Amino acid sequence: MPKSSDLADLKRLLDQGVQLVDVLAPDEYADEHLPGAINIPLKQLDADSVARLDRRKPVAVYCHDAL
Amino acid sequence: MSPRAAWRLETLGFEQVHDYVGGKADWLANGLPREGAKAVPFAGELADTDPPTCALHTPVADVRAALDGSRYGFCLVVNERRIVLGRVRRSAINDTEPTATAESVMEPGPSTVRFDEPVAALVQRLAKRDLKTMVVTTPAGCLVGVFHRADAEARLGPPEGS
Repeated sequence: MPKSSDLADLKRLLDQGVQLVDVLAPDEYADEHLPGAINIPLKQLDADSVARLDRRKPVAVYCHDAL
Repeated sequence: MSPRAAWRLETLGFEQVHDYVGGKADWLANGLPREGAKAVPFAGELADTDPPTCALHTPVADVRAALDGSRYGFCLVVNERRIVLGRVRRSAINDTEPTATAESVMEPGPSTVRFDEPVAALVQRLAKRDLKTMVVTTPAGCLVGVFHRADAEARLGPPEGS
């Protein structure tokens, strides 16, 4: 089950080398994103697009906000 | 959106999936670094991070001393975590007993904006209301600094239509 994380959790995860995924549209990602994040838009999230990620390592996702 | 992405990743075989619930908005509002082509300056980036501050129990005499010679017409009342609790205006303490506390003369809950408020829009909003400053805090209410419209206009030019 995915874990809900707040800012403090994310900072800790980043220190541990979490794989960070921005699931927003490409233009939103291009405008601004968190440092080190890769862009895999939600609509493109499938086995092919996540092939560059390591399934055994932690991954954190984010979009614009909680709404 | 991100909860669905997190669940989808789990179905794709990922073992440790985290959903950063606050998302990009929370990250930027906290003044953390960003990457990307959008170079819109943020209010927090131009804010004076060292405005006069005091505690609830600070005597008015000390508040007055902090404001003397300062560009500020107010002192922000913060707690030990720098959470903004109120504002003491210079005009409110002119005739106040020196031993009175900041708490007794402060205005509670001054208006604030987040770090990632776009500067151009904020300058326009302040100009429309003839305001010179705006307090900048994190989403949790922690003081980032004070944004000065004049500083922003000097750096970026006056707002359109002024």
